Order: sequence, then structure tokens, then C-alpha cells
Amino acid sequence: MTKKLKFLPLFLLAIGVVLGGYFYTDKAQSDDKGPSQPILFSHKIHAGENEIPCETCHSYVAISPNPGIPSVQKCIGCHSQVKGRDVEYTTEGGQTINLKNEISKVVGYWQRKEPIPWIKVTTMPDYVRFNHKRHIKKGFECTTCHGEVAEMDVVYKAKSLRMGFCLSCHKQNADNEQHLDELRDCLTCHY
Amino acid sequence: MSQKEKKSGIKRRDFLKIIGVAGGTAAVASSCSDPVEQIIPYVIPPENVIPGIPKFYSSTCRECSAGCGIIVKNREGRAIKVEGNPNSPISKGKTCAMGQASLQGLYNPDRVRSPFRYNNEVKRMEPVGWEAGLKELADRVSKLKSEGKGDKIVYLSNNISGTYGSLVKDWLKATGGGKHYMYETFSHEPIKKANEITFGKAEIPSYKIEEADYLLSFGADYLETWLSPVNNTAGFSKLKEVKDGKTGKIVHVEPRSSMTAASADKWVDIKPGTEQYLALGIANVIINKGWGKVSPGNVSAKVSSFTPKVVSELTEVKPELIEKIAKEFATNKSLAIGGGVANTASNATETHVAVNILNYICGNIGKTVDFSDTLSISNTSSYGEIKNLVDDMRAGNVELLIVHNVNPLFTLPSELNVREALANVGYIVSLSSFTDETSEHAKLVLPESSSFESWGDYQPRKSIISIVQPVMNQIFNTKSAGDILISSTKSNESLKDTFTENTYLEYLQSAWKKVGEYVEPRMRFDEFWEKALINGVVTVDQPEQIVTLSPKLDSIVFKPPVFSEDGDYYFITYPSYRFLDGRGANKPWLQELPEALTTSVWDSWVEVHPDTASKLGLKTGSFVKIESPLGSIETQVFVYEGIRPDTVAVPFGQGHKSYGRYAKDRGVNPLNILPSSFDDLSKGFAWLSTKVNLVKTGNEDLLVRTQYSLSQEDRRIAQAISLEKLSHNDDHHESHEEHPDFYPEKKYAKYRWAMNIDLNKCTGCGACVTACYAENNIPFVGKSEVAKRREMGWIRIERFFEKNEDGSLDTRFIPMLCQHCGNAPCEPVCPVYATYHNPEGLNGMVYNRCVGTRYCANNCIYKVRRFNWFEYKIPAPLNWQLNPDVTVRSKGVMEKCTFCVQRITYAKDLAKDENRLVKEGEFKTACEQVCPSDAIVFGNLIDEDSKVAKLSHDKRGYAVLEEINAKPGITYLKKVKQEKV
Repeated sequence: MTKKLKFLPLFLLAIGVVLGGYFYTDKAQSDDKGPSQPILFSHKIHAGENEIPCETCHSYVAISPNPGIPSVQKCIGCHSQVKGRDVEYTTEGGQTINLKNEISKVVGYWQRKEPIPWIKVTTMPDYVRFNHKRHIKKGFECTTCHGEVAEMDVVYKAKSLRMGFCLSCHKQNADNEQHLDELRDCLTCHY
Repeated sequence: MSQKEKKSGIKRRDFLKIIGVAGGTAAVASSCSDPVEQIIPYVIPPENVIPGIPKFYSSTCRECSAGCGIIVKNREGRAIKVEGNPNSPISKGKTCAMGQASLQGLYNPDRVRSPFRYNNEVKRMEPVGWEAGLKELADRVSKLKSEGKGDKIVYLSNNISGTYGSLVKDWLKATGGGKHYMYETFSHEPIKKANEITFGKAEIPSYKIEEADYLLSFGADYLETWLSPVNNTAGFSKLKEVKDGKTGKIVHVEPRSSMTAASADKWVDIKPGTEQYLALGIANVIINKGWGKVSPGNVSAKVSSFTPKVVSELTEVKPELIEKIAKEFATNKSLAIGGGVANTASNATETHVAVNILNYICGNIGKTVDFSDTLSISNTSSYGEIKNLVDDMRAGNVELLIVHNVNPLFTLPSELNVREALANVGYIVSLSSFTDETSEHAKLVLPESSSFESWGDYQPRKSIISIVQPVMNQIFNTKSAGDILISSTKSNESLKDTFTENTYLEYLQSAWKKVGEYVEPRMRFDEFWEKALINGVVTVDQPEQIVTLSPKLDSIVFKPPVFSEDGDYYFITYPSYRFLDGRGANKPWLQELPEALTTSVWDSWVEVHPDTASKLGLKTGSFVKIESPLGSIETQVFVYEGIRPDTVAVPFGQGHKSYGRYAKDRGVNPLNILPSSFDDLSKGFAWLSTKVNLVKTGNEDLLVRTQYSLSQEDRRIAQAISLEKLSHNDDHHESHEEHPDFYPEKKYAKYRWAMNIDLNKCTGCGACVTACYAENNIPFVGKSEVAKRREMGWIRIERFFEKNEDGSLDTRFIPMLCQHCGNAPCEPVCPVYATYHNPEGLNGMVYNRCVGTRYCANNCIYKVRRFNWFEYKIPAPLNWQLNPDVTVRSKGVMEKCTFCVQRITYAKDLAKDENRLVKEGEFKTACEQVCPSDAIVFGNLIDEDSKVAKLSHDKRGYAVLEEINAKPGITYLKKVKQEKV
């Protein structure tokens, strides 16, 4: 066996990591961890600085499995008044935008009566069923799974949301042995 | 190290290491990236729509003339499931398989998506805008009107009742006095005519099976297509109720054992066309013995010559049986009905007069036969009238023909040559949603919207008006038929004042104002309208009708049936409960629903008795030519004990030459070999008029079915118990032996989901099968895959042919689905724990764990697991129907019945909101919900007051393959037999 071949595994690993990294960062031009959205909507400004509660826009979170994302009409409800200052704004990741410009994009969608094609951040495989209502009714904070969204300019998937993440919480919150059985039952989420 | 390995320069072990690392790296790298998905918001959110929460709308099923009230489940703007409306006195919350599959009409990929017009220059159909299309229609109509030819306009539709009928009337009046024909392939003319002759009422009454405890059916396929099958089945279920060791009895008279006959207690295999004699013979016995409840009067003379002996010779029914039936019929709360094969010979009206006589002398008129509440199908044209219309068309007397929801080229006999007649019509306009045989001849196609997208109403009976409302937005560029008619008048100067209303909804509401004033005089119209939309049904009380014998009865002469005497075998063709008159053939769920008796899918067949088959050297799967003087059809043989040796039968509904990808070029149309003959008195088409010859072709192929075995080989799968044994008041349970168990007993804390299936009520109709496809995103796989045993249905109806003590046929149906066993054999053999017993008694199937070893399916004793051999593609927009609450399974994954776990989860979620447990009856599984005979009961076994818990201790209860000790969660209730078992 030649010496070269011994390094082949490492070499392939390196290629893998590079390629993986390439796909993972979603070709983002900045250091923002989230994907590049059609409008640079800052949760930091809305939920953080302006302290708008999550449920204002994600209005079905406590009554439906789906939290809902705001309609364009809802955006324009505020932004027909709030036109934005004509100032530069730099995100955590170093992207610079003009607030007025960014808000004018929403107005554009509204005028064209087009939906905004947001990129989904918190994705789940099709075979997982997650009911927002149940978790909110139980008293969990949005941040438990979504992270400190109020501090994110560009929202990213803060928690792995893999099965281990779900189960660790389900186990901690079991009241008794039987409740634990229910909470870690596969059919709770998979059907 | 061997020489060979040295040469390659790499050790096997190293090679594996490298591959392992490289593969792992690639896997890690690729798993890091989630697929990029978009999330699209509403621009303006629709009112009251919450994503993730279903909406329900009341409407009416328009698949047949029965007019079942339905509730349509809508998720995020799409209709995804049809269920019966409990407020509807017709459906009583249930539907049939056709009703379940109606969504596949709405989402059918072969729907006509926009208007088309024939372009004379290029000699083909071309898309046209609605405005131009409607103007074309209006201009032609107005031209005919101005030339004084307005009466040569014909509107040919299916059975329309309620407001749309008056719209057509108004439209035809304004356009010059054309004629409206309502044509139904099976319109029961003989019943109407016979009622006119017997009682002076040319109408079809309501038959109240639920109020009888003895049902005598002369050929009426009341569980399949006859008048109102879902309603009839509810009545059947009531009659079959076992209480205090007693139950009702059903005798079915038909030359073949249809699905309806299979559910009767006694099948009488009468000689085709002679049913009238049997009815008269029974009447004769009743009158002679003085068992009748009403003075027979003139009737006595009519029946006096039909002694049991005479009748027996004519009908080949034993005299003792005739006397037995007579006694039972007269001494019970009885009902005699006639239809199907018995009502379609050349003497059909006479036959039904004989049936009327039976009901009359036993005092059933006004009790189980209700003339105060007659059926709207009474208003349809007879075959004779349609034939005259076709002759008129051929003679060039029709200038404009509007075809709406009918397909005469397919449903009329080819001898009538409708094709030639259509060619002589001035101009044909089709409002059909599908390009079928007839609409292919249209020069202008203005596709109407589906009933799921339109406003309307339907009056199945005088007492019931059922709302049709849009349950979702338009899918394609179509308009409702009402809007087509109204807006066509607006696009022409001379017609534009025809209607004051601008839309059909306005027209409908002005009609409903009158309904409101009559039904709820004190209610404001908007309140009444809203209430009607929520309820779905408005009932109108009908005054009682006193019915007496008509003097016309004296004129009736009971003639023998007429057959073309060229062939050896009586030829029967019968309406299919899956396709009716062929209209269901374009729905893949119905094509893949195994027919109850043959379990055949996606094709036609001919039923041949074993004796006949062996005489001709035929076996199941042999191709045979069925020859009549008019031509021949070729199909495969199904050797069937449930048919007379002198008779063969082919189901109706297949054999389309058009009508979309799922219907086209599949099976045979029996109308190709039937003459255009009819019953003289009623002018109803004589479906039973021909004797045919069978010619062996020598070819043979698999007749594709889902069940090839006919017998249960003493395995006691579908069990029965005699009424006698049941009424013995001992607590002896012949099954339920205690089996020693290796494993500790399973404990359930809150719920043990369980099911109970009553085999005495199961009719084999397959509504549960189709409902399961609809609810659980089960793919249809097509004929060639079913031939490889790869059908995907989670619930199947097994049927077994047993023998009664007297040698007669005993057909048993048993729905088979995952039994959610306590000791499930599938669980321990799964190498990845993809299937397991959950704390609520469900046998869980975790798709994302499954690696597809199929060990579980091999070890399942009930053979109910299904494997995804492919990624099954459902062409758009059929896939719009998919239930978002159920995972769409992918290739390589096992699946099976989940007891509708998504419904359980939904109900538990609502219960948790109120901090309580799920209540009895709060939700139903899809199969339980749809079952028209209420044979399926689902619930929580832990709750001792639940129906399912009570029924699990029923004397008739047993577990299938109990000896294996799998502890299934389903208890079957044995079928109850009047004879010994």
C-alpha cells in the first residue's frame, strides 16, 4: 500500500466538509446566519426594539397547529403609516440596508397584490406533526424552540429541532410514568 | 496477503475503511442542508380561515338522483373530504363509495378547463373566451327564435329538481318554447306506470324499509343503486338489528345473487322475467288463506289462476317456498319492492303491478309505502320519450341541442344509433365538465363548474330540499350551469331582459324567498337562508295521501316476457354501485374499489355458472365472446355460483371510448349488443330482452382481482350463528377461550382504542374502503400493479362463498383491516422498532423509522400491511385532495390502518383544551363515519359505558383467528342466519 492512499480518507473528508459548508451557508453574502429573504425583515426591530408580541403577527399560534405568518394586508396595516426613516441600518451580520427602501418593498408587493415569497427558516420533515397550540397552551415560550428571535435581524434556526431536542424536553416535562409514556410515544408526532 | 491482492495495491480492509469514511462524510455534508422551502402568505386573508383548522360546509351529493346531504371538509381553501350530513333525512350522515369519490370528479385531471368552440376553418376545437362562447350560444338561440324555430331547441339534462329546473323552463320559454328532457339511464318507468295502473298515481313513493321487519325484494338492488341506496341501507341496518334474539328477515328474488341478494336471508334464484308470477302466486296464497289485511276486492280475480303449482312451473321456485314466503309476508310488518332485473323485461310494468298488489292486500300502502312523499326521479322522461327525441334529432328536427350532465351516446343502445342522430342536429352545445362520448360531438363546449363549486339546490323527495353551495373556489375557468344560462341571455339584445337577476345565486335566492315564506313565515329571509346553509336541508311537511285501487287495474293482463330467442343464455346487465351508468368510471378510487362479489378491479367481466362454464370449457379468466343478433362483446369470465346456469351477467358502466384517462378503453359496454326494445306499458328500456350465445375465444388471462380464493377453507374467518342458537338464553360463549400468555398483560391508562364490526349489517358496499383512501392519502396503483398484489387499500372487504344446509349459497362479507393486536405478530420482527404497540392500544407504524424489510407484512396474520413499491404519483389537481394531516408515504415504506390516528389526535387536542378525556362519539374513524349500515363502531374500550365496550361482550362477538392469541382490538359480531349454521 502506498503512503498517499492513507491520506485519501482525510482528503475526502476535507472535500466533504467544504462542500457541506458551501451548501449549508446557503450562499449568503453576509455573516447573517439566516437565509437571504426577499425583504430584509428584522425581527430585532419588530419584536425587540418595538416590543411587538409574537402573536400580533403569528396570530393563530394559540388556537391552531399552525402559527400562521402575517398576510401582506397585515404588514401594510402598519406600514401604510410606518414608512421608515431614510437611514442606513446595519444588521448583526454586516448587511447594510436603507430602512425606507426595505419598507417600500412591502408596499410594492401590496400594490402588485403579490404574496411575499419568504424562505422558510424553521423547517420540519413532512413526517413530523408539531402542534403549536398545545405547546403554547402548556405555557412554553416561543424562544424555547425558536431562540432569541427578538435579538435576530435575520431569523435563523437557533435550535436543532431534531428528535433528541424534542424528546429531552418531553422527558423533562412528564408528570409521571404514564405521562412520560404518552410524551415519548412515537405516534405523538409521527403519523 | 495473496498475490492477487498485492497486484491491486490496496487491501480489502483499507478499501472498506475508505469507503466508509467517504460515504459518512458525504452523508454528513448532505444532511446539513435543509431543503429550501418557501412559505407563502395570503395577500388578503379570506374571512374566517385559520390555517390548520378545517372548515365544514353543508351541501348535497350530486353523483346520483338520491340527493344525499353531505358535509364537505375544507382545509386551507381546498375540499379534502366528503361526509354525510346527519341533518339529511336521506343520507343520515352517511355516503356511499360514489359519494366518497365525488371529490375525484372535482379534482379530475381530465376536466374541461375552459370553453372550447369548433373552428370551421381549421376543422377543430379551439379555446374560446367565456364572453365569446356565451355570445355564440345567445346569438344562435336568438337567430332561431327570430326565425320561429325556438321550439327546435332541446335542453337534455339529467334529473334536475328544485330551482334549476325552473331556470331551464324560464330560459326555454324566453328562447322560443324549446323542450327540456330529463334523462336518467335508470329512471324506473315501470314503477311509475304500475303505480298509475294500480293506484292512479304515476309517481315513485318513498319505501320505508326501516319500518318493515320483513322485506321482499323483487330484483331491487336497494343496497347498490335502487332509488336511494344510502337511505335504503340505513333502513336495512334497522331491519337487521338483533334484539332479544329476534331480527328482521329479507327475501331477495333475482336470477343472480347480486350484492343485495348476498345480504338477504334468502336468495330466490328465479327464472328471468317471471317475477310477476311469483308475486301473484304469493298474493294468491295470502288471499286464499285469508291472511290479507285489506279486502282484496277485484284483486282476487286477478290472482286466482296463479296457484303455487302453476307459479312454480313458470318461475322454477318451489311451491313450498312460495307458501312459506306468503305466510311470512302476511304475518309480519312487511314491504315488497321491485326493481333492477325484475323491472326491466318487456313485462316490467305488469311485474310491478303484481308487487303493488302484494303491498296492497297486506295493508302496506300508507305504512311502509308512502305516497305522500314521492321521489323527484318520478319526473324524468321515459326511455320511449328519449327514443322519440333521438328519432327527432335524426330527422333533423332539432336545431340546437344543449347537453348537460348526460352521456346518451354511451347510455343508449347502439342500435338506436345516437351518433347518426347527433350528426343531424343543427348545433350541439355541451355543458359537460368532461369530454365524454357525447360531448365529443359538440361544437361549443361551455364547461360547467363542479357541484362543489356552484350554488344550487336539489329536491330528492317532495318533503326535502337540500342546499348545494360552493365549498371552495373555482379550480378552472368554468361557470355554474345556472350562470351560463343567465349570462348567455345578457349577451344578446333580444334576450337581455329575460332575467332580472344577474347571477344564478340571485335567482336561487329569489326562489328560496318563497320557500322561506312557506316553511318559516316568521323568519327574516337572511336568517332563514343562513340557517338553511348551515343545516344543509330544509324539510317541508307533506299532507297525507289516501291511496285506493284504480279501476285501471282491471285492464292489466300479465303477459309473459319477450326475449330474442336466438341465444342459449339470458343476458343480464345491471347498474354498477361503483360506476352507476358509467359516470363513475373516470374516478380511480372507484376503478380500484374491488367489486363486492368478484373483487375485480379496473375492468369488466361476465358471470357464468360453474355448470355452464364446464360445459363450454371456460374458467375464470377465459375470454369469451358474448353474441347477440346485434353484435358481440368480448370479456373475461368469472365463474360464479351465484347465477343461474341459464343466465349470464355483465355489469354496466365500463367500456368508455372517451371520458378521460381512467375510463377510456377499459372493459365493455353491454349496450352494444342490446336491442332498442322497451316495456310496452311504461316505455322503460328493456334491459332484460336478449338471449345470447357464449363463444370461447381460446384466449386466457388473469382476471385481476384482490381476492382469488372463494372459500374460507374452514378457517372460521367470517363466522355466522343461527337465530335459534342465539335466542337460547345461555351465556355459553363458544369462543373466547382463555389462552395462556407468555407476556404480561398490557395495561392501558386512559384509552384502549378498539373497534367492533357487525357482520350481520355489513353489505360489502365498499364505502369504508373508499373513505379510507380519501382520508388517509392512499395511492391508487392501477390494474397491472393490483395484478401483482400491490394494491394499497388499508381496509378490504373479504368475501367468502359458503353453503347453507340446503345447499344454497351463503355469501359472507368481512371487512379486514389492521386489528391493532395486543400481541401483534408484526411488532417483534421489526428490526428497527418502526412498528410497536402504543400506550393507547394502537399498533403504531412510524414511517420515518421503517427501512422496508417487509418482515412485518410477512408475519402479519391478517395480511393487512401494504408496502410502497414505488413513489406513487397522483397527477395534479387530484393531489389537491390529499389530507394535510396525514403523511404521504414514500417508496420503500410499509403502511397500514392507523385507526385514523390523526382524528384521534385531533379529538384529544380539543379535549385537552378543556382538560378532559375524549368523549364517546366525539369523533369517528373514516370507515365508521361513512358506513351506511352502521356496521362499524369505534371507541374507547376503557370507558365501560362506550358502545364499543358493550358490544365487545356481545354474545355474537369473536376475534378472527383467535387461536393465534394475537389479542386483536377488533371484535367481530357474527352474521345471524335464519337457518342452522
